[in-house]
Amino acid sequence: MRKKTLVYDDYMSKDINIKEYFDVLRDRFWLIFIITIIMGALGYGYSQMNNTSLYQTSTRIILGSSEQDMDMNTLMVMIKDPIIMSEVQKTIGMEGSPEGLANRIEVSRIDESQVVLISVTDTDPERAAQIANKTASVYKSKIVDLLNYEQVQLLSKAGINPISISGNQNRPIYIAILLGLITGVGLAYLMDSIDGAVKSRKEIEDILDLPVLGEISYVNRRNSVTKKAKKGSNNMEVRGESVGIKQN
Amino acid sequence: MNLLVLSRIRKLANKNKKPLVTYTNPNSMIAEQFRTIRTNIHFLTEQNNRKVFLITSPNKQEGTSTSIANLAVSIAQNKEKVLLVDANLRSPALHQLFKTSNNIGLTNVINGSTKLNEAIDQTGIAQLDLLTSGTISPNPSDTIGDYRMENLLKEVGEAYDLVLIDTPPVLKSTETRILASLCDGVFILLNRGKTKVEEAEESKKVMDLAQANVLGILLNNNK
Repeated sequence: MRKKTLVYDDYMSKDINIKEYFDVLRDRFWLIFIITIIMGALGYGYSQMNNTSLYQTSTRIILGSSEQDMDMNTLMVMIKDPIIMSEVQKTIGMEGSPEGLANRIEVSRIDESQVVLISVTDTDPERAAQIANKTASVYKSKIVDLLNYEQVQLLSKAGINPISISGNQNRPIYIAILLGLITGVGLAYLMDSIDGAVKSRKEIEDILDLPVLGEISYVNRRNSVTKKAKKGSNNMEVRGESVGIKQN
Repeated sequence: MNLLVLSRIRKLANKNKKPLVTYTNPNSMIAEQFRTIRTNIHFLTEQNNRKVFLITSPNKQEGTSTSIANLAVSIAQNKEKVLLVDANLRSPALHQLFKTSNNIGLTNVINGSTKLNEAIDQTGIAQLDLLTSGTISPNPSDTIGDYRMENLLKEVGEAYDLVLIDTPPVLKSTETRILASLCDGVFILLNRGKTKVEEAEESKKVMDLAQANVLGILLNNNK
């Protein structure tokens, strides 16, 4: 009986050293939790503020036929020409320079074919479709005057694409949550080291030069439940199982 | 079926009322911890016939009353005759834990209106007797400082195997110092994560000044 008690205590003090680190986190769980939530919210706000969602839509036109021999590249470059861009701006009623608008437009050829894709990226899905369609129609009418080229066919109109192409920008939120977690844990340990409360058994034994005769846990369901009853039910289970295995 | 429900209700009630775990669940982990303390106290007492012990803490709300009650139960279960005295005249709690009345108690014995054996309650738990604090006294330090208190301690020290005294926080009241000097040994209960190290040091200094024999620390966990 005597020896058992002492051995039990020795093991306890070793376990406690590791346990104390967890206890710090558990004690200040709410601090860590709240800091993480706040940082997460800030990260969310940041990502909402800095990332206006962009919408993209495209229209297709067919250029050329065998009759007229015109360089495809020249025709494509002409789409983004300031003359056309300013005309588009005028009809839609947009502000800004023609070059600015040109930057939002991407012209590409589909698989070396005569089909040209005009993609427009804008913050407003409706306006993106408007720009795409207007560019195509203005191009069709203007190119006749400019290059005397008539083989422009509008293939498909741009529709309104309501889904943002910028995707879900959750990275700042994740980073903020991680930072919050780190800050919270750091703060928990900092507060723990400066609050001056009695923490470890060894510490107080050294300071007061008195033995700690015992520790009393906070009463909760786990440690106030009867040990014997738990053990008993476990034994029953094990026995039942092992019998079953042997028979098979 | 009914029994199951009843036991569940009792468990919940126990959980909420800081129960006498050593009595209600003698095989639980906490009861085991109190047995460890009991064993350690036993080693301290067997060599030099100490009998009257006082438990105090630096501050309020650190769990002294609950701990001392459980410790007393634990010792009593070891077939010893134990008396538990509630000398916390400022905010007595032991009569609530043992669900007895506090009409007659320590103060009545000291002012001479009641005899000691009339004031002592039997708790029904093994050989554990309880002396509640009694009628609320206007001046607790004078009551405790009365010469009759010393006589009373001598008397119960002879009648019982062990006497445990619950006292007010040592840093908040003077009577604990007076009592501490009258007892054979003092245990200081500290609350991990709550009691400040300086308060613990201060308590020990105060006890040393009162020439009390501080034997050890009990560490109560806040969580």
